Amino acid sequence: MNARSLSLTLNAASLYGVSAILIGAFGFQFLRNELPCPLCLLQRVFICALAAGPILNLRFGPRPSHYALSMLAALAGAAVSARQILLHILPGDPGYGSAIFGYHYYTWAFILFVAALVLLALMLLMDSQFDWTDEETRPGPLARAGILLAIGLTAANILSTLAICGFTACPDNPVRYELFQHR
Amino acid sequence: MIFTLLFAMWTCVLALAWLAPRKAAMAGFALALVLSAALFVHHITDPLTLSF
Repeated sequence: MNARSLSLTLNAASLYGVSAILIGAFGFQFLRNELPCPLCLLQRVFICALAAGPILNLRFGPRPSHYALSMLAALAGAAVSARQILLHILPGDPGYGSAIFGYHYYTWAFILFVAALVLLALMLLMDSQFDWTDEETRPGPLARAGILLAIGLTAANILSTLAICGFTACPDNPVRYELFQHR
Repeated sequence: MIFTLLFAMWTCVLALAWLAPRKAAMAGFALALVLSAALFVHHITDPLTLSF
């Protein structure tokens, strides 16, 4: 497997990673009925944004600018999750939502965004993947499925967020689906 | 509602990355990133309650 093939495979795998995170977020939302707060939604937004770089890499071939897009998304996501960590950092603050393995969702989000930055930087070290930049690639069925999964899960968040917030501003601490409340 | 629109915008950006010319996808990403960051900055300058 040459560097270009390896890079495309890893990019396809990263789309499944992004999708797994979004599915996990939906899992906690629906199974544990823990609705995402506005900052949590913003973190989800930047997780979705991470998928843009790999999709472009799979379609147009790996380019540093595509990795840069995902790095910007990871940086913004890390800023948002760090903000939420700082909001709950005072002693005695229970944090928002429940903890998984001792960390709240936003702490895990911060770890994931920083890990994404490190992985993207490591991918950029693989110079020979950029040797063919002019040809459009034809992703295989698994890569195409990963792309559609990532886009589909981002679209599913439209419906989920509409259900949580309704047609008004999202509540700070959502406990019910506002769209389905009869007033 | 604004978050619903934000997710709709990012869905369009990912669809552009998959279907549209490269420059359109890059421009769409830049616009969506700036708007998302602007929303974040706008909200962190507001008086905050629980998580926002």
